[in-house]
Amino acid sequence: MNDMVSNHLSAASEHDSNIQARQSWMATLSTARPADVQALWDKVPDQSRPSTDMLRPPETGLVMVKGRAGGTGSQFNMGEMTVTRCAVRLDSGVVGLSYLKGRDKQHALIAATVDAMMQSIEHADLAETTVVTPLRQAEQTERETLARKTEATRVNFFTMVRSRQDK
Amino acid sequence: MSSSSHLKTRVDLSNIAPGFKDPVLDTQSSFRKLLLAMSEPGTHVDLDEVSAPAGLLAATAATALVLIDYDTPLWLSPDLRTPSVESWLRFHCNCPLVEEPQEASFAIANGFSEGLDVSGFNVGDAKYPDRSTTLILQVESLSDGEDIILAGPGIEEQRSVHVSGLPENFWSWRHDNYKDFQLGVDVMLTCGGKLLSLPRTTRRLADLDT
Repeated sequence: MNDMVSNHLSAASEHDSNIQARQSWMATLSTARPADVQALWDKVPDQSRPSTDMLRPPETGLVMVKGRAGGTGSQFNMGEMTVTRCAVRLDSGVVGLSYLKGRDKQHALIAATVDAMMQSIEHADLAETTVVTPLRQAEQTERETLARKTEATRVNFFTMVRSRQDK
Repeated sequence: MSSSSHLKTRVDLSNIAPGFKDPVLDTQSSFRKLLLAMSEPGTHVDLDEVSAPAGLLAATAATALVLIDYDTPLWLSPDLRTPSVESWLRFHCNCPLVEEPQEASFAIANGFSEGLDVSGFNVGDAKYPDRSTTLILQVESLSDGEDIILAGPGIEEQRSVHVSGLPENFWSWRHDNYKDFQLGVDVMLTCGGKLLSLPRTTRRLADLDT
């Protein structure tokens, strides 16, 4: 009985970590610059690209972004945002999705294809080494550069607190 | 468990058939055909561009892609509530599925659906008769079967159609449907890639005098 429970739990946590891993590469793919994504995708040899079935050709639309005052208050509509999405399916039945801001259809198509490749055993390595890892590194480098530049010009503000009783 | 309830709401995408090849142009041309079908009741239009999921006919699927979205609650007859139909509709149309026919803007059913009660749909209200349910009924044939002569707005004198596979009480229900005009349910009949419509104003010649 205990075994069953722990098996179930480990299956559930594996499921969760799969979801997290997928969220991570999907975020990397969708926030990267379109030109970077295209350049890396061009390095994937033609014969290694899986053939895809277009479940939902790239399409651009509006998404209502909602917010909550202070993160906890009542919901309000912050504004509409241009979003491009795409869904492709590999022959094996694996489905790749992408949602990204802006209207770059080619970017959405590549992101969805790479998402599908990352989920299938035969293509995952190729997609990871050629596209996802370089994008992650670029993202990391950019973040560090930005942090360094910000750090170099940091001004420390402080406030002197005075109260009458201290005298 | 939380993870299983989460899985339950997920749509299985591995078997979903694609929608229109060119969403914008195909939607526009199909909409034009639906407009023709509704304004000239009894006229056949071809809607066969879509590869429908098991359970839906091509014309039904195309109509769903054109007309149904997140704003239009859909009722499916029990025999159509299969994973293939539900996940296809949720992926492509993103529509809420309702249990009560009364709440539906659109309804899809088979003519042979067991115990189909066509009288339960929303007929609209006096202020907004346009808010009634539109019933898409999948039938066996639109070229063979009972010869029906139609009359009404959009038909110059009369138009003859052949339909087989309608529910048993269909015509008596249609007759009642007209009594409360301008309230009423509009019907589209589909078979394969063909569609014809029977708006609430269209009546059988045989019913005209009664």
